[in-house]
Amino acid sequence: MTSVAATAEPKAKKEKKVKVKKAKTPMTKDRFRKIMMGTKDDMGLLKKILVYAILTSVGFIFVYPLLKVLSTSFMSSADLFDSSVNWLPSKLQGTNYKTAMKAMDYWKALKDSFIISGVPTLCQVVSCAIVGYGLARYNFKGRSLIFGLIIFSFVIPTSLTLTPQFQMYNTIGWTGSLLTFVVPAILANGLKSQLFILICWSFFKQIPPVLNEAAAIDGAGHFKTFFKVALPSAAGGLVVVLIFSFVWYWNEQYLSQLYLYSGRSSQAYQFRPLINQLASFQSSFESTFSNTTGAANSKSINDSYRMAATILTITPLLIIYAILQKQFVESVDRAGITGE
Amino acid sequence: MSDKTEAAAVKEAKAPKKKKKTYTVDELLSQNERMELFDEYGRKKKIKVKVKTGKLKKRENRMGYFFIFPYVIGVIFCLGYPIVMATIYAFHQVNLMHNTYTFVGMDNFAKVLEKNITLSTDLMTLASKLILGVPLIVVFALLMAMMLNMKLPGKGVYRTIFFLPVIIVSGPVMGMITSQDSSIQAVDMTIIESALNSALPPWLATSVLWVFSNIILLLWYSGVQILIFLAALQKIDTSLYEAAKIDGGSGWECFWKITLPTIKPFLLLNAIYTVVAMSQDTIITPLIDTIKAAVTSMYGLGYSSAFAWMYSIVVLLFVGLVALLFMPKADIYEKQIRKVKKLEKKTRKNLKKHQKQLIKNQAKLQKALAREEKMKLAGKDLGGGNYDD
Repeated sequence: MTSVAATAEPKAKKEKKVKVKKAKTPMTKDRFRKIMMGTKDDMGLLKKILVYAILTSVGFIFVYPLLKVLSTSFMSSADLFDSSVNWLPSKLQGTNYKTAMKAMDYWKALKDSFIISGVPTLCQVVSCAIVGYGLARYNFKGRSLIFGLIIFSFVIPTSLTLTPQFQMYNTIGWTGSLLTFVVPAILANGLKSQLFILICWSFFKQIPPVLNEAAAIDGAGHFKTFFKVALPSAAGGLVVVLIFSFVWYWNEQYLSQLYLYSGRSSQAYQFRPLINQLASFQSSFESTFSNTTGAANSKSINDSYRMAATILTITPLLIIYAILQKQFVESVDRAGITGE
Repeated sequence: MSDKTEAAAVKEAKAPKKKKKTYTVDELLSQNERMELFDEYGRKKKIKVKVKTGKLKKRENRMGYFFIFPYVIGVIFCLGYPIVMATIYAFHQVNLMHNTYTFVGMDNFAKVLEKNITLSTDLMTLASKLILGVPLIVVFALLMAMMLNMKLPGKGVYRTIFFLPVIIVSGPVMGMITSQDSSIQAVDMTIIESALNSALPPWLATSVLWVFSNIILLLWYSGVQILIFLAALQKIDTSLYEAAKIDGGSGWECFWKITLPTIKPFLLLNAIYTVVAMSQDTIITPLIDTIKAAVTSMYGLGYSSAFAWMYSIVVLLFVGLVALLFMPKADIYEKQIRKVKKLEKKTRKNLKKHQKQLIKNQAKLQKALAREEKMKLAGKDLGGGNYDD
């Protein structure tokens, strides 16, 4: 008995060894090729490396301006003129930000910016959702006409409608107030509203009609269905609209210049959004630092101040994007912002 | 005896009218279809009729107007009125102080050409920039979207990075980058510059040069396009690829025969979006700045409106051109289906007509038969009386 057991054990050991060996030595030429070049189902290692390399380099290109601006914003004026300093400043100079903040009247401008872009954005999200829902859910007469109008107004350059619109606001007396932004946004004709209507439409269209019917059977009216069924299921799309709309309103320098500033003396401006403060950064910088405070405190403007101001302007956007990023990417994943 | 006469009567009644009609129907319809439409007794079968939307549904759909309502007002207020006014301004000398409009014809347009000597070359440059830039952006966006759509670990991070241009490009960062001379140059420019200048006309050479020196700038403009393509790619049914793989299709073939045809509509969408976005960007074309400056300039509303109209027409032409180029053509199979459907519709129409006629004929026939019967009965009665007695 014992002898049998003794002979059995080494056998088992041998088998184990063989197994281990088998797992270790399959590096034939064929298999190597398979790993490197990939099979039909699986991407090869080489291809993966290539894709990662391309993605990384293009990603770098996309982040490049941000990094460049960021690094320049920390440089001292000596670093700016030193050709050996290219990316990393020799010393992080945080005072640049302080100076830029002071020149831009940052906190007030930040508040104004949030009002100027936040209120119209909320109006626009609501109105575009309503219109998009109407287009997606109901099959009324003249729907294709509305679509035609939307596409036409998307294609036509905004500068065409700019002159009469400005004239109209001027005669009504809205210039200088928030109404110039809010009213078009409420009427679903704000900044790039057409695109947002199409996005909302494509999201609402994906709600199965059975859901609406079930809601109707349970006694929900048209509006209750909209608020309780449609809106929650299209929340991802609304996030996309929210981000885009906010960003575009935030960055709209020309319109706010035209509607808020024109025909007024600089003291009478009700709102001074960040983007306009940035546009007039040079003059405001000079007025704060050379004229009033005297020679001892005077500074001359340079690129690092300007870059610091730029970073300050877009920081809120980046923060909002970082917060909503997950929903944004997911909703693009799930349904897409396509006008199919 | 009576049977024979009946049959004869039927033949007589049917023959002259039916002959023509049956001929046309035979021409149009196959035998089977005719058999389907009539049962064995020659009666009209009940055919399924296309369901019209019911009254309730119609009433419900009317709710759509309520949802659309804000947009309609907005269009009148923000699109219709301004366009009409812009057209009126463009042809008039406007004096806002006295609110007078004097018709001046094409003077405003002439003034625009006069004041902007470089307008035509600027437009040409814009056109060539668009011609070179749009395909570049669209192809690049498609490539990037396809890479982001692969099953790779860590693609979430890349996606976050790739959507960043949406925020940056429209913002002041771009202005900062382009205002100083720190734009990244991918290639050594001097050799290309000299070669191009000798080979091409100046307006084309400048735009080609611009593309070379700003190739990275152009890539920044593809943020939204990548989003759109990515969304489109995710909608493609993966079973299509599986089927193709089983049949031995390579990745290359899959791209050309599955991916590209499916996302063709999005190519159109992206191309148009790119044209619209590029033509309204101050970095791409300085003309936008000129137009915007004209709004508040001293030349008046007429001048700025005329300027805006001229620019809009050029852009609209371009959009139309792109739409024509990318518009999906109906393929042969679809055409055939449409043809067959048309024929079917026509046949059905004719058939209905014919059926009505047939029913009428039958009614007439019945009447004739009834009359004959009566006559016969009367005859029988008469005759019977005679013979019996």
